[in-house]
Amino acid sequence: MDILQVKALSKVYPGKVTTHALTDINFSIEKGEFVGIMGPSGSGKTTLLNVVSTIDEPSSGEVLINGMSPHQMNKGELARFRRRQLGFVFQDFNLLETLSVAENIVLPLTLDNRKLSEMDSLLQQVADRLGITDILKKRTYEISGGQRQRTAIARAMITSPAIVMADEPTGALDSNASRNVMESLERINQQDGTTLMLVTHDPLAASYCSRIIFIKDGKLAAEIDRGESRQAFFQNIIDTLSFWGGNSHELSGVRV
Amino acid sequence: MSFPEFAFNNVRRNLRAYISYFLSSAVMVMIFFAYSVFIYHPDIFHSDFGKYIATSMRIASYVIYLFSFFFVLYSISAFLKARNQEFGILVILGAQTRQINWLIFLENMLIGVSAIVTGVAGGLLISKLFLMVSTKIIGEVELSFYWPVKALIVTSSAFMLLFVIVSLFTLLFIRKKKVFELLKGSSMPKKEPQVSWLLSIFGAALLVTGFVSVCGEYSKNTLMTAALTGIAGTYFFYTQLSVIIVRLLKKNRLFMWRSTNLIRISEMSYKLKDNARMLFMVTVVTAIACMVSSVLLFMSQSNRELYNHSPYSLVYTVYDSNNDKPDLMPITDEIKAHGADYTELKIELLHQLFTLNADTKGIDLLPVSKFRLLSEQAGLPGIQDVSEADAVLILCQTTNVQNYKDFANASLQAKSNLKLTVKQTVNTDILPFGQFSSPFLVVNDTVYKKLQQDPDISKVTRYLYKVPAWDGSPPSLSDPEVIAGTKLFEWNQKKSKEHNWNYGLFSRGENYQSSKQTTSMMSFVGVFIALIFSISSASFLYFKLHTELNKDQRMYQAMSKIGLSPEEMSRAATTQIALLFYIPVFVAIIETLAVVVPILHGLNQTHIMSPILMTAAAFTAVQTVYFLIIRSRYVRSLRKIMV
Repeated sequence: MDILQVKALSKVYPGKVTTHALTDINFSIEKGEFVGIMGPSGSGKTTLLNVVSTIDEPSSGEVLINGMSPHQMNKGELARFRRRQLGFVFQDFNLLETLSVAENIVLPLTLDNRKLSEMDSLLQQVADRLGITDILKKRTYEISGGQRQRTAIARAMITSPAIVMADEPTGALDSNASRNVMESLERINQQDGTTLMLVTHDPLAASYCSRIIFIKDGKLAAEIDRGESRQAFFQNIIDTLSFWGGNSHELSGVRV
Repeated sequence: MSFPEFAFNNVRRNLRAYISYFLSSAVMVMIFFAYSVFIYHPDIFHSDFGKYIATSMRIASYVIYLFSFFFVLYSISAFLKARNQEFGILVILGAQTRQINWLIFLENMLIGVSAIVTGVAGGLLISKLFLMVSTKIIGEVELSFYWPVKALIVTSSAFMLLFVIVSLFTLLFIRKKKVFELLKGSSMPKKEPQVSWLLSIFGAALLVTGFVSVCGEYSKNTLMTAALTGIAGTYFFYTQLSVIIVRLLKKNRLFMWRSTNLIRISEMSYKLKDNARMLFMVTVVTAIACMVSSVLLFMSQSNRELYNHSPYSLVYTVYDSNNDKPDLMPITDEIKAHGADYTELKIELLHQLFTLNADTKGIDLLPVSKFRLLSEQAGLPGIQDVSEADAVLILCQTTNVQNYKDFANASLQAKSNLKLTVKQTVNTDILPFGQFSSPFLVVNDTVYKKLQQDPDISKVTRYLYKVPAWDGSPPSLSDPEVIAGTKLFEWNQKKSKEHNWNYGLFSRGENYQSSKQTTSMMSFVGVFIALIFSISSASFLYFKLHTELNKDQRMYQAMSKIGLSPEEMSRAATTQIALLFYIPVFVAIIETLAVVVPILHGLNQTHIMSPILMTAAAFTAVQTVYFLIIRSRYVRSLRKIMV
């Protein structure tokens, strides 16, 4: 069953010079998939994520999430749709520093006025899964970057959304914390069957996905599947990137 | 780009942040200038009342100046704090301390000078109106518009000095900081607000002490204690008690983990603590303005009541009267000169001392026959017959009525073997002798005649003049009652001075108009101070919200991505702003009630609540206007970033 369907999606930024950010994008993500979106800077991956995640409007085309078309909803419906159907993980965490870790995680549930006992059990469950039970009472400035990102993942997960969208979740983390976060994402994907969509330009992070879609200049460029070995997949990603990036030493800055 | 240009651009591009500070400073300069125009008016010394007003305006302008000093100091240091990061960058780029100081100084002076120019220009525009209104209040001399050179010089040099001094002051703030701290600026993670239980208890104790001392005996000392403990207690209320209240709220997860409460309440605890000092200032300033206006409003209300409850236009009193009749011709002639009819009633009151509850207390006595005449004319309630052994207590609601309440149902014993039992008590709002009224006893005529023979008893004779043509609603300055009253009042002052102050004259109309002049003059002067207080407190709040806007925008944008709808944002933001705006007003109103009610109650003034509530309503209304304007701007800029 397709959780996400993107049909003939285009995004044009009008202005003195019209920018075609996305042109005729078609793809779909099935339930339980872990899909990565990659591409060089300026290729339109963030635009794609923003349109798919209802933060931006498409110029033409259609996005269906769980069979619903969020771009036709009004603002109130859209907010409710986001808090029930979508989970977000950002590069800079976007946690509220005035709240404790636990409060940050249950925030989407409180907006929905769920029962306290229900919130508590969901909180325990998701904190267990992400290994952050010990820090629930702490404040966000007292914990490490990796812990913050795992808190953000927990917040995205707690509503059991149809799809979790992650925008460069390892962008602000060191390699150790990155691995930790990616393993957490992989675990929730494999154990809970959560559908994930990840935008990244880090090949190592991308190698945790089950499928990767490459875009360049706003168009779909390539698509590769993981197969058996993560090592081979990683090499495959590097090759594809250098091919589509046009120039292989452009990527030498990325961990190889 | 030259250095002054850099400073100029900094101000110009930060105009949104500076605008409220600039406008409030300009209003302060403007009102200071308007007062100066009046104070230095060449014709002011032709009128006694004008001189009086000039003095009170001078005091008011000192208050404004002092307040402006603190306002400017606080605002500038708040601006600098918000710009720490910018200064850090300048330091890293190699700017010398001297250069940064010079930059800050230039910026401050730029705003200061423009505020002075705008304020004086605005002052020139309103000064004509200002003079017209004050002329109307004085009602004697026509104060024409003039070219106020002296006021101009005084205002601009005074405020120039103020801005220079404050600028130098603020340089001290910035010098202490290290580059690292500057660079980190406001992006350092905020620690959870700390409270100390000891300080909170201390704060609560201060508030209670303040309230208790205001409830007790009224004296200058208790008032001082109440003011000091009240102000200190308010400070602790904001810095400590508010955090504790929020913390207790947070403990209740059923409430806390509900809808947007989580964001609202936790943001609130930071905002309250961060802005505690500012909220404290706003509260104190509002409370003072509120108290003064309540008292003024109360004074004008009781002045009107005194007129309405005085049945006689003129009350002429002769103290220690022998039997020779005083010269009443000037009074009757004056009434006749205005073509009015009158009736004269002579009342002789005896002042008798009684032993009451082991105390000696004096009270005036009146025979029943005279009282019947009086009550018929003045509309006092009737009484039953009075036998030789008893008396009727007439309790007029005067300020000293409390002292006479013991006489009700009491058995009285005088030195001269006179024994009286007070069997009836009549409460009345009517003041038969106007200002001179005081509760009195009505006794049997025989008893009265006997006492009259006593050579030691002191007698007061009152001549009451009822002028039917002058009865009705309170007169205006040009009405005959006021003109005649003023003339007679002056005549009596002169005559009484020569006779050991043995004569008193109360003219209902004259008294009403002169009190009215005083209160309206005080309100006129005071309303501008209240205006300044109110504008500057709104300015503090505006600036605070403005500096926090960027941070809040970031927060709400992130929240919007995880599913906060614009309506929920609007609700959460509105609650926060509303609390910042209304908490100080409501605390101020409560403090006003706690202070003014016991004081006026001590002076036995009944209708206290309505002036206080009217003032409170006015302050709330003005605050609501600011609130609505600022809230709509704030929510609009937040709505823009909602995705």
